[in-house]
Amino acid sequence: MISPENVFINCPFDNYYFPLLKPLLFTLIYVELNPKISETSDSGEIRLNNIKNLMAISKYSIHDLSRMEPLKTKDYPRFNMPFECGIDFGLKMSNEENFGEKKFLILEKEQHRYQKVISDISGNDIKAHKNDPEQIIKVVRDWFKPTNPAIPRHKEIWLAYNEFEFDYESILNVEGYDPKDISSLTFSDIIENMAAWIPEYKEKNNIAQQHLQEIGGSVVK
Amino acid sequence: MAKIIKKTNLTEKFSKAASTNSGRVHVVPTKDGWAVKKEGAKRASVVTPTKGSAVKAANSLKSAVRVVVHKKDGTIHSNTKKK
Repeated sequence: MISPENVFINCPFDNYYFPLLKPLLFTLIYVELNPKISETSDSGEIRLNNIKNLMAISKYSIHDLSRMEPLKTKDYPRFNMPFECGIDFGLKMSNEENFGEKKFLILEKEQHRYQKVISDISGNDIKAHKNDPEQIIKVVRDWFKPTNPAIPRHKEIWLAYNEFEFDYESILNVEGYDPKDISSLTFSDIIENMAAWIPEYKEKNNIAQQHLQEIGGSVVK
Repeated sequence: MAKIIKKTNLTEKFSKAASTNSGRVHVVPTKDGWAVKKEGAKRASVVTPTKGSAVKAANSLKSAVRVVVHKKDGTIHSNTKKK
């Protein structure tokens, strides 16, 4: 069943992208959405089915196409992200009755690069994060803002994220994990830890109450 | 957040870390300059044009115990006792 709180994430899973993935996940959880991300350990067919199932339960998808090029000069281009993006578009277009309400945010590192490499997606919501963690928070937050007036300014999320980073680094170092390594924790662990941290942070900063007051006591989803 | 989270040892640590206030002041690079934010405060106390002036402002806060300076990706550049 498709849920308006679920957000499918299609992005690279490597240490170069990790500084963008963390603020992306953090922003979604901060604005009370549920990121859906596939763990990479499954074998091919099972993994693809899992991905399709996650797409099918998510009203929103974020496809980050900023890392299609090889990591090193002699490596091959990486097609997973555009491939999964295509599956998601196919799911929506082949079954408008069940998936017609799905909405996609395409992320790129520069605003107009997609026109050279994947021009078929022109006309969709395409935003550039410029490989900047604060900017990815801003573009994701701005995209979801019309769905929920209670969503705070990106500055609030960015400052909160920095405090989370302090705790993330401190706790992982004490536990003997490398905080810069994307494989130190599973994505489920990272999401759970963020989901445990954020409500406590909001309570300490009296933030949730503030948002409710700002919109007159009701949260619109 | 309405979600019920199954608490593991690690998630407990994250919950506890978020709820405690150890007098840390964070110096954070932003699009507008360098923000100085006390833990437990909703907003930045001040935003300055340079990192140096932000660190100075952080050290001048009475309630500050430690000053944490962040890098552009949010990770920690330094974590020092207030001067």
